[in-house]
Amino acid sequence: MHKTSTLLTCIFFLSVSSFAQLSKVSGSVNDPNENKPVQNAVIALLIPKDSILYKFTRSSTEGKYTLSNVKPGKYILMTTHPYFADILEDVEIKGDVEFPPLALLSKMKILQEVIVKTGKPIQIKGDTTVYTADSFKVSANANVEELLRKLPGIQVDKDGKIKAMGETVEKVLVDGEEFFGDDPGMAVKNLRADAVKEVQVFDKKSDQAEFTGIDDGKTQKTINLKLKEDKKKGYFGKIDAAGGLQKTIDDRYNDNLLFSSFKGKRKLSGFLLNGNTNQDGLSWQDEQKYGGQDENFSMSMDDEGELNFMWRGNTIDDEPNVDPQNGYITNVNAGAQYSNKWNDKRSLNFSPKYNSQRYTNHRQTFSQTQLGDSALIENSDLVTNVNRHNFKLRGMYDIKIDSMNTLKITANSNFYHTESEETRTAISTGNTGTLKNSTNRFLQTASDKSALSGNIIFRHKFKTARRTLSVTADWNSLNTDGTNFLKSFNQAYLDGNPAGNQQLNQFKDYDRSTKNISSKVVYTEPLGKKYSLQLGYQLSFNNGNNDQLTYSYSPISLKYDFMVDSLSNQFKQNILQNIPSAKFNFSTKKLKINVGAGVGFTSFDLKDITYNKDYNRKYTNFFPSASLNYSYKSNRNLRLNYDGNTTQPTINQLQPLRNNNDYFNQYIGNPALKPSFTNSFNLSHQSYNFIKDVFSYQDLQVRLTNNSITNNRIINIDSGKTITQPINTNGNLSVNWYSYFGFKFKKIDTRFNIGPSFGYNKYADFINSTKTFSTTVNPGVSLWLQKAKEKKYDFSIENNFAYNSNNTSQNNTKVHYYTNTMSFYGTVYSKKVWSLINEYRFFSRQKTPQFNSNLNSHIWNVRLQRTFKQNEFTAYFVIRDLLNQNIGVERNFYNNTFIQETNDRIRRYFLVGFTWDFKNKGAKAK
Amino acid sequence: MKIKTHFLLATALIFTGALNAQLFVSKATIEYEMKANIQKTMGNGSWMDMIKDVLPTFKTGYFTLTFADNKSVYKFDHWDGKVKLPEFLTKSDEENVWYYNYDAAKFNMQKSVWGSNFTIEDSIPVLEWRVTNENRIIAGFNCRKAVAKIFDSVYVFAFYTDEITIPGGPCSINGLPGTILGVTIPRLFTSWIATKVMVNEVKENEIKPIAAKKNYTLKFLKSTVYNQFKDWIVEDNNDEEKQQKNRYIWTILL
Repeated sequence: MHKTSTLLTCIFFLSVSSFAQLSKVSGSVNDPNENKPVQNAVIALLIPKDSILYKFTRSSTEGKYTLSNVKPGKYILMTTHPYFADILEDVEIKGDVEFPPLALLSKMKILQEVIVKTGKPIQIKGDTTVYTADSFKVSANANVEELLRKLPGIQVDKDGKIKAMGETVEKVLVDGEEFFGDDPGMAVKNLRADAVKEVQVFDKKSDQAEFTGIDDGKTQKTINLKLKEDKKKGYFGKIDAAGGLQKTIDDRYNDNLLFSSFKGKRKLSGFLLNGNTNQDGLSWQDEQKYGGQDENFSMSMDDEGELNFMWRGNTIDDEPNVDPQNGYITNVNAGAQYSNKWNDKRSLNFSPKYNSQRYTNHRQTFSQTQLGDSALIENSDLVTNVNRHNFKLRGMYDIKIDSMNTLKITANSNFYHTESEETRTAISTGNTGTLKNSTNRFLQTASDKSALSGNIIFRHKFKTARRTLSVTADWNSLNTDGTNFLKSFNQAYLDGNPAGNQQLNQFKDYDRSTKNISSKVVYTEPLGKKYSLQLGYQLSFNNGNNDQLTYSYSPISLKYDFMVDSLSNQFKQNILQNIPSAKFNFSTKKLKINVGAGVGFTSFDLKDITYNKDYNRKYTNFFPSASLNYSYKSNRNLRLNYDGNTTQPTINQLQPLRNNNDYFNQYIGNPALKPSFTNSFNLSHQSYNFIKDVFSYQDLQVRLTNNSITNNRIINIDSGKTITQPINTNGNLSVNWYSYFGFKFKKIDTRFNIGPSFGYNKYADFINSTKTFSTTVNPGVSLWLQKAKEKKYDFSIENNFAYNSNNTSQNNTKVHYYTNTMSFYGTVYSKKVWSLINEYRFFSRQKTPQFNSNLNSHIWNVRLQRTFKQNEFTAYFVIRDLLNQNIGVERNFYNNTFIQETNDRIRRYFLVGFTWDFKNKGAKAK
Repeated sequence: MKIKTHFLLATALIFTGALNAQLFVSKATIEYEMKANIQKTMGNGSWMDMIKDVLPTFKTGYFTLTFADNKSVYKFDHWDGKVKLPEFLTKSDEENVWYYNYDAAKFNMQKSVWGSNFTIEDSIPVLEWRVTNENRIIAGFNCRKAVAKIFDSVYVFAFYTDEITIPGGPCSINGLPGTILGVTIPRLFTSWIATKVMVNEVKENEIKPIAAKKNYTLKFLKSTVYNQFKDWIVEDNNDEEKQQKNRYIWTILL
């Protein structure tokens, strides 16, 4: 015991003393030729093992130096000076030491013409041996060292030392750069063999010789590894199959097959999706991997370095939007994509896609329209069956002609074949329950549609920076060719007693086509560093035909051969538009302003061939715009935006095709419509603090519309028949405020977002030619919080509360209610392979006088999965809508009408599935 | 051409001053050309691929290191004028400033992260340099190569010259017995190389610490950055995204 403590004390003292025994090293340097001290020589101590720099100093005017606090040990004493030869000495330091004066030897400095080396790859001169890496077989994950062993004339010994042609390799370069220093082993151990294209072995002249051009005869054996342009080559894919036997509904299944192969810049991928769980196309993640670029998105960068994202909606094919949540969809989606890029100059992208969709839905609608003191109530029932085939083809070719000119050509075609059947029954009553009308309708439609478009963009940059010219040409055409059979029985009532009916059995043959061609030239001229001017001119021409022939069924001939003149028509339309525009930009680091305006001269010509009528219109539309962006502090930004926009009436609003599909709800045109003009103001502010991790955003939007095109509904209070006609009106206003505040509560490691919002909307329309204002006020607040721990859990809760207050001048009633949506998302991970995912959403809507109970729904989805073999395989079990409450009820209130819609939903179902994510070794999914 | 003149001037000075103190540069402005491969640092994904399509491969900017009395300021000067780049790629380069006082072993830097500026003040961290025997001439100066590892795993290859006495360099790369004139950080796809050494008209009044209401420590910055990036959870097998995440962190800390 006694001994031990003595020993401990000794050790303690020893360690303390060794700690305290830091040495002072001093000395001096001189030039023996001049017999003068040398100033500013670097005296450094390096650690001998790995030549790590330990301490350094410089000699004083007297040539003296001191290094204090030096730990005792062995060092290399390195003395360097630009005009003297380097001196390296092994020294051992124990206690304070003064080294004898060091005499520096002058070094001849060759001062030829100065060469500034800027890091260009080293030029390979002399005899070079080149090995093509791919012609030597190595194992799949081999590194370069393994590859070198395979090369004739190269040996790698057990210590990793490389010899080429019998000489030790002193340098390994990667693409001519000395990234890995002069430890050749580092490069060859850290690089994958399959990344290397060529191994070049040569004698590198000494640096000195290379820079001065004077060959000093010294060479170093050097290996240069030339990398492949893009080492990516391989394939990856996914097979996912899920199915579930159900007791009460159809069996659910969903199968996905995705595959992608790539070689450098060439990419070929394909997918096949097949299922009836309302999966609509590729998921976002899969779209990234297999679908290629989103066809509706495009991006460009302007001369101020701003990136502009453009989104072109699917407007050109005019296809009705199906909400995949409602109804039952059986889908087959198949597609392929090919893309390639050559020399970073030309790229090609080509993708055909096919989709077949069978859709069925049963929708029940309740609507109540206020008419002064009384109300019109309609209960309807609609069964829809749609069978649609769609084939899309898209091609894109992009050429960077040279650094000044680029050309991009895009072509799209989109074909649809649709067959659908609709059965609708509806009964309208007054608020006292008096029967007003009833409808039974069966509509069968078959149509073929083709949407074609082409686009060419040419961009030219001038030698003067920021001076550019772009020329765009667009062409598109839309053709719809279809037939429908309409069988309907419409019964009107007066005071609850039948008062006339109408029975229809008609066949329609319609053919619609529009063609649009337009071209735009934009020229940007920089006016000094801060200013620039943009001038543009757009010319477009639109031409359309709209033919419809309606035949009545003849009980005599048993054919549809009796033409109904009032429902047959032929229209032709020509629209010519000239839009010159100018925009002025001012841009500094803190302030960016742009002000611009365009004027649209539209000449509009609509010919009704059936009635030989001609509607000629000439509009002058004005499009002013201004924006201001002020970064008044590094992390605070204020933005003010103004847009003035003219909207001209659509053809359908001026002179629609006569349509008798719904006898009690008809739409007629208004040839006297004027264009409407909307002023939009937007003020927003954002700030961000990285250290505090706080983000805040406020946004105020005001929209004011003059001559707004709204509807006049002429409602026959007796029969309930409604005729809707568009009309110009004033007084439409909307004010919306939205804000957002996000931060992290560091103590509990939880992220919070709070977003209060407020909206005020005033909408004017007409009922029976009386102007009515509906005002909606809706304040709300959203709250979101998230807490996650890697590989353990991930939870988030979101709550959105909104209060709605509606007021209509039609009968001076106020309706107010709240809606609240609470969502919970949680994943728990266990043992790296298990995860349990819960999604729960509770929606609640307060009752109103029209609906006598609150609308509540709880949707809970659960997924349990286990992965195998490092996520290569996944087995999962899914329960959708565990509580079987997906009833598909939606309530809405607009203008004067309350609507409740009930759609078919896939209710509770179970799925068992299996996924295989495969890839070749070394491949990386993009 | 300009570079040459400057160097010839410097040479003339050297010869007239012979072997006296003027031989060494202790007060000057060094211009560095920074070249970063933005196509490689931006990461992948169809969104990023779209952005890459409209961007050049490199961003090239010019920075200056102004020093005197063993104190230095390193900051942005100008972009290579051809193409204006989007703000998210340029803002932090333009805003970041490094001030070093080597006598006091203190530094002070302004960092801009996603548009948010803040200031760090601390003692100068010591990098572990491995000195080599390789030489290379940069901007007319003979430079010796040294290698260091930063952030535990990122290799930095630097060329320093003992003819310029301040132990500084671009950004926070320093601590060698002379000024670093060339740096390459392969994992950030970025390199710096001195293009001019200007010994006349040094704006000494610019060499001052960044004035700030609040200064944070380096330790605080590190913990803040790691804490914020903790929420960016990368799947185990996604090496590319892991590297991407690391590059973000390193660029902030550099």
